[in-house]
Amino acid sequence: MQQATDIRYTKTAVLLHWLIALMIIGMMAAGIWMTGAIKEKETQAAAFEMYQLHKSFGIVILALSLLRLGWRITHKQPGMPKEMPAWERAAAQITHWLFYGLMIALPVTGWLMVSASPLGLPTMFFGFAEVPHMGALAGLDYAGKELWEERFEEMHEFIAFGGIGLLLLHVGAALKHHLIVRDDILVRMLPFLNILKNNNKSEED
Amino acid sequence: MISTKQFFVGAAIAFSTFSGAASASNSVAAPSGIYAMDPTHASLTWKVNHFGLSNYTARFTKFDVKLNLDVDVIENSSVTATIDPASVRTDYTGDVDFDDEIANGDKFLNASVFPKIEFVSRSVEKTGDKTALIHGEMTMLGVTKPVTLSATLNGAMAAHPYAKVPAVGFHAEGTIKRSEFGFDHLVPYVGDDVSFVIEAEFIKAE
Repeated sequence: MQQATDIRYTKTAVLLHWLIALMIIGMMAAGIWMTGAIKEKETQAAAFEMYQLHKSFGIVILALSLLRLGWRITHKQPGMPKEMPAWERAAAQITHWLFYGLMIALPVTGWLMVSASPLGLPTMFFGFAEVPHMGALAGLDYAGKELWEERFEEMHEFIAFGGIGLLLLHVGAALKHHLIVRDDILVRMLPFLNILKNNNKSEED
Repeated sequence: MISTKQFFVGAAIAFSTFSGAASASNSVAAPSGIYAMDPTHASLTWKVNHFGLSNYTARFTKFDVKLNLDVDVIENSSVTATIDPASVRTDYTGDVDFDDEIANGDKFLNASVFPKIEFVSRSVEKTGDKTALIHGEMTMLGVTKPVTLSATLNGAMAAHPYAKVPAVGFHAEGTIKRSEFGFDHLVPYVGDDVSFVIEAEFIKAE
């Protein structure tokens, strides 16, 4: 490995990154499964439960992502390697900010969608607390609710599938940096590496 | 004096001749003709998946079926059925009148605008001694779609003991996709497939 170009991400940033990443991957798998399973009577009851879980994790992701956005704004980022061409830097910046947009827009559009739904199904946060629907949509008539549910659903779906593309790009870029360019772009975001002490001047800055 | 053996052989021949004669023209005891449904011994129940938890079951109480039965060439038979959608009955209607909602709601059967559900057979396909497929067209909510009923002759009598006229009894079942008729409210949480069963007795019309 080449010399570390810069400091590692903070422990908080690393923790939030991987926690949210795991949840997003799980959410994508759950979302793809449950939207099909809800249509089949054999799996419908289980799918209803999965929707509740999906909605609960959505709230968690929204909260953690807002926290992470705040952390990002108030903390210094490790810089990019000097050898990186300008277009790669720009692409990385755009991808990262798109991820922030996605992490917030996905739960919000999901929340809007279930709030607009004429079914009026409650959102139970891991079974113990009811999450309110967004009130502005409550006054709509049935047709209005159907229309807005569909619109938010399309947005949610568009962002989700866009997110899968973004995720592939992000993972592909990280692996390229690690395996081909052989810089420390990936390593500085990996958890549990304080034991390696590979030229890192800080674990916590 | 005939031997025991001769007696049994004779009896066997007599029995087989008798039963052979009875089944020579057809296996149905009742004659061909126009049959009217006996509403006191008829039911039309339907089932729809609810949330993947149950096959919710309800019925229509006002419906009529007319049968033109050809017992010799079953393929020549025909049937028409008419259902009053306002007669839908659930077992427990809840705090709001659920029967009224299903019957008259504009997302449900909208009975004031579409006062009839109709089925008209187009062809009958024999599948066994007592079974047939009835291919026809059903009209609901102003939309006509092909529907096939699977029918079984439960039994037939040359003379019903009370009515003293020929009687037949049928079981018929089928499944429709309600969304094909524009009835897609709450699909898929409340199933798209609606299965139904008709159990009905018929009395030969005059």
